[in-house]
Amino acid sequence: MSEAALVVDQVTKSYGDFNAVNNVSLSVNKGEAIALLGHNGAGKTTLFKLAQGLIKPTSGTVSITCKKSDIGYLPENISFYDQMSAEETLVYYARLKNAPLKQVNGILELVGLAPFQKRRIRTYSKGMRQRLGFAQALLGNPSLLFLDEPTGGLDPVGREELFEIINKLICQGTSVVFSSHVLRELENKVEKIAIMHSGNLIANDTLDNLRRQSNMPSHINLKISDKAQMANWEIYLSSFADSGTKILNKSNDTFYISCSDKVKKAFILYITACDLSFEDIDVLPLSLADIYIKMCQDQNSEQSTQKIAV
Amino acid sequence: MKNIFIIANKEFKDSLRNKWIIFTTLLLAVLSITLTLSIGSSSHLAASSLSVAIVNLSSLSIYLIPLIAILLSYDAIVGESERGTLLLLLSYPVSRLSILSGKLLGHLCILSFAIIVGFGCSVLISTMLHGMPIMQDILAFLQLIFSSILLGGVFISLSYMISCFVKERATAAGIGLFVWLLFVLLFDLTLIMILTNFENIIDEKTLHILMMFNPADIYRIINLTGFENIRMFSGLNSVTEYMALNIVQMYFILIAWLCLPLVIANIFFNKKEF
Repeated sequence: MSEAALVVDQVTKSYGDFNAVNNVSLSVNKGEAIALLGHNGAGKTTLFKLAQGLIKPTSGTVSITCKKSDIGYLPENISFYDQMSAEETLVYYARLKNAPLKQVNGILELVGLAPFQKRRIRTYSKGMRQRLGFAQALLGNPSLLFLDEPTGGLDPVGREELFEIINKLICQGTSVVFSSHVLRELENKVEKIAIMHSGNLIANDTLDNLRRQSNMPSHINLKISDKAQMANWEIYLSSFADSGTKILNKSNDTFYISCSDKVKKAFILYITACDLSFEDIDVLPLSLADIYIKMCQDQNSEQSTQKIAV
Repeated sequence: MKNIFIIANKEFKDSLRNKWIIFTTLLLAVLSITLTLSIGSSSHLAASSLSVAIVNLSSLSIYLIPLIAILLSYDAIVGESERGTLLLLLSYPVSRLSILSGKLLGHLCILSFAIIVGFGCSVLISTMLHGMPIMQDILAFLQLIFSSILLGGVFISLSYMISCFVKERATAAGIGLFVWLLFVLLFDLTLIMILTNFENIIDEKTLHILMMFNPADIYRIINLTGFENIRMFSGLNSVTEYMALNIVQMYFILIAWLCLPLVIANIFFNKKEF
């Protein structure tokens, strides 16, 4: 069994009557990456602060197995002392963390700020500040990284570079907890997804398990080689014995089909067994965005029902 | 302990970057040079020109040093919180007391540099014009420097208390200016009012005790009564016999004025969530 780097146990954080985080439990194992998703104000940033002991929970406990100097943190909307340069900033934080100063230049090189390291931060763009924020989080080779919206302000290339570094760190055994609104970029990059909604943790599992739990249909695009056979194909596809499988749309040579996850394999075998020919078949897995939106919608309708009942 | 020096070093370098230290030093230097030159070269005053300069400097410093200290430090915590830099700092392995202590040390260094260099010009000018000052003048001058730094420290400490308590920089600035006005003007006006109305009830020693509730008054008494030559020029030659506390006790009270707001600031700071 893997050792936990972070355990959040039934944590609630209240501000008056408002629960910013409500009875949340989750754990992060050593070398594991977990993405924390949620709408604005869902409680992600509060959970980040709670996890690091920056704020105290109203109830519940948070335990971290490493020292505070082994934690790296990139806050959302990071700010720096504008009159300092990137190099001075990293030297300052490295000293506070007791991290080796010789690391500074290497980290600046890694995040692509080496050519600008002597420039004052007030001249930096938002993306450069974000890179510097990420750089300071890497000081002292942390074993647990908290990255709150790490890709904010970064261009697509910058985002890819950042995820490359994060992947390397995960491979080296660093535990990473991060939040992001850009769901597409998280697919295939994290093991676990945790979804927060209005302070509650509504999901905490692998993407595959979330796909299964969501019970949403996958999409299959079937391209026909001989357009004259479109009508025959339509009859053949419609006769598949599953009510959840249906043709959503069709063009002059392609069928757009919705197919439930349970019969997906059987349906593909059914297509390949057909005497009629086809040119290509695309199985589009459920995207994280689809699952996230579905879960949030379910949660919203559940809350509305509860309000009406009250 | 190491973190206190790291934070203090950053604060000092910040004041070099934003030229705060240069302008403050220049301000105090211009003030002390003007006051020393204005004494003139009449034979009566020339012999003790430094004594007269000390009397004048301490009278003006009561207003200026608390104001400089408040402007330097009123946003120490609330400013960092508003700019968003405090959250990151708190995520590092640094205690909140170390942050406050580091900032205090840094701000005291800035103020000390400005006071030593600025007021030092007075000794320089006096020596150039009237020759080497007498030992008692030198001691009185050293006392002026030390007590000025302490007075600045008291107001820095009070500013931290305000800065840890409020939620906005503007509020901290407003309260800071009120505290300045309270101690340099309103407190003494109130004392005069009380004395005028209750002349028979309040004797000199009670008055002296009451003045201990104002750090600016403690500073004034220390500097104007500490040495005989200074007492002569400040017109307070016979005051010492009516004093309830000696100079060492007054220094302790001034140090308490520095420590107490810092302890309260630390309590506020520890309770606050960012």
